[in-house]
Amino acid sequence: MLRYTIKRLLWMIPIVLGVSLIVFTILYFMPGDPVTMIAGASATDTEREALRASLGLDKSYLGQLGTFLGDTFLHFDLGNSYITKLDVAAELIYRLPRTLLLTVMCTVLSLVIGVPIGITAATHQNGFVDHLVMFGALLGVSIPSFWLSLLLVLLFSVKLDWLPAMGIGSIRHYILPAIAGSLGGIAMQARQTRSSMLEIIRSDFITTARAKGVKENMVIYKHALRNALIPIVTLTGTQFGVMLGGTMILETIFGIPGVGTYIITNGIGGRDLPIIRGGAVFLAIAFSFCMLLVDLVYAAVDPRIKAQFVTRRAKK
Amino acid sequence: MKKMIAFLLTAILLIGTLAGCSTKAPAAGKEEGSPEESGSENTGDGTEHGYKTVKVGISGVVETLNPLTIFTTGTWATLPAYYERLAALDEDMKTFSGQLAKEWTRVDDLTYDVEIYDYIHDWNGNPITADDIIFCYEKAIELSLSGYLTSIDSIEKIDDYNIRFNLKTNYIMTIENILNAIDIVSQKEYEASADQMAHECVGTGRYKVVEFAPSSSLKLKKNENYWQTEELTHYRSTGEADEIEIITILEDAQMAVALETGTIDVAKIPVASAKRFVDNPDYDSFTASSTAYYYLSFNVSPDSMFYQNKALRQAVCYAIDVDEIIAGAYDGAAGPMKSIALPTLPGYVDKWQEEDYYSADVEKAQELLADAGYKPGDLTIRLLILQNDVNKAWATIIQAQLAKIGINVEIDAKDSALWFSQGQSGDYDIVGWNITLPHMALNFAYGVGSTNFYTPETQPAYTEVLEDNELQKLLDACLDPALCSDETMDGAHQRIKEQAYVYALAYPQQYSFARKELHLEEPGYATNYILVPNTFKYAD
Repeated sequence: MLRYTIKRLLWMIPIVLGVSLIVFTILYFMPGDPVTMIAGASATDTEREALRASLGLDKSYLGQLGTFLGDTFLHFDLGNSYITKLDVAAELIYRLPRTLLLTVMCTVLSLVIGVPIGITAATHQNGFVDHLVMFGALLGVSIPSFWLSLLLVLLFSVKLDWLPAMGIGSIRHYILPAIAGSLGGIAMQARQTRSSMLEIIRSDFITTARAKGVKENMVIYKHALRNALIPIVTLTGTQFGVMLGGTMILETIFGIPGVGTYIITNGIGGRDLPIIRGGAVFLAIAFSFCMLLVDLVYAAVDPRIKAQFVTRRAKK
Repeated sequence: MKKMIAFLLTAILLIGTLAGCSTKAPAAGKEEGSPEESGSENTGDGTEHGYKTVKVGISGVVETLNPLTIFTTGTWATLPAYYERLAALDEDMKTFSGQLAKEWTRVDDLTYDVEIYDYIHDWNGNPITADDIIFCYEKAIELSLSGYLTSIDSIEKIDDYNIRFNLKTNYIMTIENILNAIDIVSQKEYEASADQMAHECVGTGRYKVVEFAPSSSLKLKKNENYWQTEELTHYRSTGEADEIEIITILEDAQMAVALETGTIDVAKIPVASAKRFVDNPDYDSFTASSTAYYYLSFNVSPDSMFYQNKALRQAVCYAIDVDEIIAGAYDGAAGPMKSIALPTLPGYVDKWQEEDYYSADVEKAQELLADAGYKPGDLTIRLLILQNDVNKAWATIIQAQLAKIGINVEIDAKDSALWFSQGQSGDYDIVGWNITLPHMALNFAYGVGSTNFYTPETQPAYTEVLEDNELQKLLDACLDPALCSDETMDGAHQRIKEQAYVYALAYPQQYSFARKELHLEEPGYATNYILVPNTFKYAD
C-alpha cells in the first residue's frame, strides 16, 4: 500500500503539470485583456504598454509559460495578484479553512442523511417510501442552491431570527450555507446508495445470510452496505473535491470569503491571471489528494482490493 | 490497516472542521473580525458603552490595507477613514482642497509647488515629510497605480515640507488628480511592514484599523491623536462616529436582509429591494445620483455603417424614448441625461439640463433613416453592453424601439473584462459605455475621443471623431486649464450633440437607508457615489 501511495503521489506531478499547462494556454488565448481592466478607460496606449511590460504580459507565449512553470514548480511561487499585489498562495491558504469547513459540513450532511434514506428506499423498493425518497432526490438535484439559500435566510434569519444570515463569526454562520450546499449532495447520495444497495441485496450471499437467520438490520448494515460502499465512496470523494472550488455561490450569498469567491470573482471576474492559474494548480492538487484518499478507502472497505496489493507484493 | 485508514479519515474530517472554526489570519497581529449575528447587541440607539458605533454594509471587497495598490469598490469606501492624500474632493464633489497639502501653487504651465503641513504625523507618531511624499509617489509610479501619474515627469524635494511636481502634460485638473491619486504613509512604516501593510497598517487618518478580516469586515476606531486641528480638517477626514464596522455583503438581497435584521445599520440598497424600506418608519432614506449610468457610443470607424453618416446616427437617437427606458429599466428611479456624465460634475454647464436632447420622434427617425440611404429592415446593429440586469433591460427596450423604425438590434452582453476590451476593438456598431472621470472635459476627451489621447490606428471606432477638426479644437481648449470655460465646454457639448457621436441615456438614483435609531442626518459619498462611512453626519 505504501508503494502504491508513493506511486500515486508521484503521478500527481505530471497531472498538476498538465492542468497548469492547459489552464495557462486557455487563459493566454482567452479574450479579455487584464491590462485594459486594470488600466481603465482613461489609459492611453503608452500607459497600457508600460503596464503590460511591468506585468510580464508583453512576452511571448513560451516566455510567459516558462516564467509561470518555473515560478510555480521550482520556486513554489504562485505569483502576486495584479490588483491587490497579495501573494496568491498566502491568500489561498488564508481562505482555505473556511471553504474546508463548509465542504466538510456539506459532505458530512450528505452522508449522514443521504445514505440512510438511500438504504431505506432500497429496502422498500417500489413502495411509497421509495417513491417519496426518489421524488425528494429529484427535487434535491433540481433546486438551485442560490434560491434555496435565500429561502433559508428569509425563514431562519429574517422571520425566526434563529441563525445569522451571513458572515464568518462562528460555526452558527456555517449552518445555513451547509444546509443549502448539501441538498444536492444528499439527493445524489440517496440515489447512488439506493442503486448500489439494490444490486447487492439481490446477491446470493445476502440470501444465505437471511437463510442463516441473521437479523435483517445486520444483513443490511453489516453485509449489504459494506459491499455497496465503493460507489458511495467514489461519489463522496468526487463531491468533496468539486466543492473545494465550487462553493462560490454559497460563499457569495453568505458572505464567506473562501477559495471559490477568490478564484471566480477576483480571478476570473477581474481577469487576475495569477489568481486563476494559482487557483487551478491548487484545485488540481486538492482533487488529486481527494482521489488518492478515495483509493485508499477502497482498500479499507473492500478486502479484495487490498488483497490485490498483497498478492502483487507476494508474487514479487 | 483499515483501522488506520478510518482513523486517518476521521482525523482529516475533524481537522477540517476545527480549522474552519479558528480562522486566524496568517500575518502576525492580524485579528479576525466578524459581522455581528442578527439580533444585534446594540442598545437600539446606535450606541454601545457610551460610544456611537455604526455598522455599514458595502458591496465591495477590501482585501488589503496596502495604501499603494489599485483602488477597488471596497477601498473607495474605506481608505478615506485611515489614509489621507495631498488633496481630496470637498463635500460639494466639485472642488479640491488640501488634505495633507496646505496649498499648491503654479510655477509655470508644467510646474507646481506643493506645501504640506509641517505637523503631520501618523498613528505611531512618525512625522510625514517631503521624503515620505516622494517615496509614495515614486512607488506608485513604479507600480503603475494610476493613469494620472503618467503626467508626472519628475518630483523634487525643495525642503522637508515642500515638493515640486514637474509635469509632462497638463490638462484640466491634472494637478488636482495627481494630488488626489494616492494615499500617503510613512516610508519607514511601509518598509518595516513585511507585507506592504496588507494586513496591518499605519496611516495618518481620522480612524485606526483595529480589526481586519480580508474580504469580510473591517473595524475602525476613532484616532484620539489625530494630527490636524478641527478647523482645518478636510471633509474626507471627518468622523463623528466613535467606531465604525464595515461589512462586505456581495449579494444584493442579503444587503437588504442584513439591514432588516440589524446586522448593519446603513447600506445602499438596490432599487428592487428598496421598496420595503422607503415608507418604513424604522428607517431614514437618502437618495443620490449613481455613477452607474451609460451612454451609447457609435462606432465611426471607416468600415462602419455610422461612419460619416450623421443622419443614421440621428435616426437612432430620435427612435429612442428615454422616458420608456427610465420607467422600464430603472423603475422610474432615474433622470434623463443630456450629456455623458452627471450634472454634478465640474465642467458641466447647468443649462444643458434644460435643453432639448433628441426627444423621441419615430416619424423623424424614419425620415432620417431614409435620408441615410436605408430602408426599414435593411440594417442589423450589434449592440455591446456590460452584463447586468438593468443594462439588459434598457438594451431590450432600445431593441424594441429601433424595431419600430425597421432597425434590427442584436444585443451582446459581456462581463466587464470582455466589455472593456471588445468595446474598444471596433467590432460592435454601438457600445453602451460608462465613463466617470472627474471633469466633463476629460469625459468628452476619453469618452467621445480626443487626438490628445487616441489615434485612428489605435482606436478605429473613434475615427470620424478624431477627424472632426472642429470638435478637436474645442476639446483642446476644454482640456487646457487656461482656456477651459463654460463657453468652450458648451461648444464641445453642442458639437458632440449635433453630430450625434454619442447618445446619453439616464442616470439612475440610488437609495441608502439607515436605521432610525442611528440618527443619521446625511451620508457621505466618494466621487463615484459610494458610501464613505467616516464622513457620515449624525443629528445631535
